[in-house]
Amino acid sequence: MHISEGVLSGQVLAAGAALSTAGVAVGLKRTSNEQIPEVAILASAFFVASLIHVPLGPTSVHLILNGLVGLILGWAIFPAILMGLLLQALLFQFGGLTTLGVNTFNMAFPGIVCWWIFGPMVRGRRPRLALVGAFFCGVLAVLGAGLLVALCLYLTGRGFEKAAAAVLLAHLPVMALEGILTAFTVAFLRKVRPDMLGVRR
Amino acid sequence: MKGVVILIFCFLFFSLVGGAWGHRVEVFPYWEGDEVRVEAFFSDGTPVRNGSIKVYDPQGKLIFRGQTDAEGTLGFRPLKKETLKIVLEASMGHRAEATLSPPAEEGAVGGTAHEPPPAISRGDIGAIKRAVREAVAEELRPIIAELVRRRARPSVRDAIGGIGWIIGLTGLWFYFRARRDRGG
Repeated sequence: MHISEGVLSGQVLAAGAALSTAGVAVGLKRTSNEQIPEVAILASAFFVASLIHVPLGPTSVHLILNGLVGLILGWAIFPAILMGLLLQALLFQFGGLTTLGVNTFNMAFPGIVCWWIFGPMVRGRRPRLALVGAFFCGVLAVLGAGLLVALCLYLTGRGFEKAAAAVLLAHLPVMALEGILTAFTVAFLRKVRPDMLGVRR
Repeated sequence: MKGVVILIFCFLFFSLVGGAWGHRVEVFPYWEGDEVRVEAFFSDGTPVRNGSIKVYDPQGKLIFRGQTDAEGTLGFRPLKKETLKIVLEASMGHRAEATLSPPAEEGAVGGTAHEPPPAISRGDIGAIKRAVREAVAEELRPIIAELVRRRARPSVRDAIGGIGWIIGLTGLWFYFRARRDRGG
């Protein structure tokens, strides 16, 4: 999911940077003081998760956790992902500084969309439905990120279908894994710290 | 909150146990006689299959393009032995490049100053030097490949250091919040 330096065109990089800047601004504004430590912890989880990876066919993929991060943080996913990606770029040379904006948007935006769609289910009163919602939140956030990566490659002049097929194929197991992981985490948080998900009792 | 902390440590644990570190590509070219061999792998050592390889000459002209095989390797014969730029592009926007200097030319490696022992002719010396150079290059290759691999693989220290950075940045965020709240 980390697009390297020198792959995308200038316009795509600029658009990604602009969208991410807006997202981070909204995220910073909407984060309450009490929520800041949560942002830090999920940023750490996201940062470390990229190191666990699954060798797969012609490529190798890793956990992204953007569905889970979005579900817990909402708009604050933008600063969290930005922090994680910045450090991954600086310490591991994953992605790069010029692609920071694009990569942040590609991962954070699907997280927000999934939070918006599945948040009510996850926070709702029925535990089964919450699990199902959490599962799809994890799955679709990865799918969305993959599609955005493919779109970026397409806008730079690569074949969309080929890029998208590669990304989707490679991420099927990750999608399943993230769905299960998100469902488990939500089940756990609903029991232990429902306020973290915004569940009203 | 505790759950998430536990989760993070589970991740760290699994990533250490599995030795499975993600996500970046590395390309390692070397000369084998007249041929250039290229190895491509992800930062955990998984070979990059069907990665696109492009080779440019010193003038920036594309002189070769091809795809890596199942072992993530590829070989080709350039027309001239010169400094080549090798660019690897794997799927999903992964990219890496490396520069390959031409192999040392005959007589370029010192030694012309001292007189050869009378029993061996100059022609033999050249042949011996060439043989030694090739043998050394061959022996060094896995060591250099391992170094490239090490460089690509993030260490546990990096991961823990990164978490420290996140804590620090959070402190900074709180600092600005406190200033705003007090000043506001």
